Amino acid sequence: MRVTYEEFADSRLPALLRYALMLTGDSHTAQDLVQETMVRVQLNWRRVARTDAPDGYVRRMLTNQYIDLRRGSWVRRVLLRPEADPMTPAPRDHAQESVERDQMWELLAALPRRQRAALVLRYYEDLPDADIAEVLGCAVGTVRSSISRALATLRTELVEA
Amino acid sequence: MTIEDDLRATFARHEAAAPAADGLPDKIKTAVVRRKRRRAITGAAAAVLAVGALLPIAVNGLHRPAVQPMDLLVGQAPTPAPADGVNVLVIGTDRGLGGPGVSADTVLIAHVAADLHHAYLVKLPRTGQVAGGGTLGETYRAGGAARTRSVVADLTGLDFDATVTFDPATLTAVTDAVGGVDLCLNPSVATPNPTGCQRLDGADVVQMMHGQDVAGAQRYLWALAERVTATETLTNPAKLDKLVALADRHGLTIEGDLRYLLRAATSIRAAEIVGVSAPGSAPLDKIYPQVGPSLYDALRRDDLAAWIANHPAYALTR
Repeated sequence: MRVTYEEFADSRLPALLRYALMLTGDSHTAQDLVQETMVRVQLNWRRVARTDAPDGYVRRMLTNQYIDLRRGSWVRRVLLRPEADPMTPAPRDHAQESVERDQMWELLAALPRRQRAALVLRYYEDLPDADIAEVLGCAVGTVRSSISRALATLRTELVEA
Repeated sequence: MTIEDDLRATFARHEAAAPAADGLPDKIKTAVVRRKRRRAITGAAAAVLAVGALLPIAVNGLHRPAVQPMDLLVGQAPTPAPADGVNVLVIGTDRGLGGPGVSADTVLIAHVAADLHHAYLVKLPRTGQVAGGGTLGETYRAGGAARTRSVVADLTGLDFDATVTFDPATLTAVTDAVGGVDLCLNPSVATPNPTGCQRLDGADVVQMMHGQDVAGAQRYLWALAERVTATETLTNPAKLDKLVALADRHGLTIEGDLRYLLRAATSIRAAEIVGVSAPGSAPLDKIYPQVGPSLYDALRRDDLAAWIANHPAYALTR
């Protein structure tokens, strides 16, 4: 039996919100992104449910929405928002380590969106490169080169800092 | 620690900052309803325009270039209309504007020629005296759309295929659905206008219809028709059909068979419809005192093109 929209939303919203946070780096923006995506998912549910893997389909929708900033109404709201929300404070007992990790978080924000998405898909979602290529709609080779470019940028910046 | 490990650790640590899903399903549901509703109302707007809100062309106050009747329809309709065309009585009421009872603010005859290539809106002055006493506008107060219809039918000898009635609320809904209308204070004057154009929403329409500025109200209606036409929602007949049903929630009432008019309306643009109205010098208390008989005869014989060629002062376009 096909999954209903409600069942899908119930089980997948928390994971989608986490994924959106890793992409956007900001919890409000993440929520806007998920909301906008899920509105479209619900309006087109029959088509989404017909696919082999609704989960992957929705992740692709969300990722495209994030990457293509010129489309989608959530973008305008986000761009008009002056500052990203301050992150949750780091635990105090690993203060120094936390600072370094927050530095990584800030560096991620400076990456091109496709590169950041590729990093999130590999190192957070743990997807194989073939699946990442499908989400991003590009060749596997492109995924790999885009990840290695992103890692090179991060290495350079971390050394400089 | 490798940079890959560092990345994994960074992502993992920030997981805790992910927004909670509480309340989000409700927000999504609300947004979905709103978006569906927006779709629906935009369509309702198209339906209203198709059957009645073309009235701006027929109200007074638009300038009158010398008009030659022209081919109005772009495409051919697959099914022929009745041999003598389609006649629809369109009534705009002042319901909700606070007057004593509800009267007809706007009364006009929408005529689509049998070839579906020409469309006309013939305005009847609401202040015109009718047989049996009182004004045309008051016939609605006395007996609703049915009474107005029978009075106009007696006057013109026309057998109406349908009657369309709408309220100010209909226009409000339409206006909001199209995201407001751009109203320029002097749209027909070429000189620069220091105040320029302004965007007005649905709440403004009621005020304008009710206010003293009659010319302003007419310009508003015109701007509305243009805006609705610009949304291009008239081009989908199936959608239109569905949306007529939705429009009645906002005060639109349709009695009779509108199929031909609807079909024609899908290809007629507001700017391409010829309005017929008495010249400004005509007495307000009489309905087409001089040309009435020939006008009604032309309507009955579906020969308005020739009539307008002979009476260019009565033709009204943008």
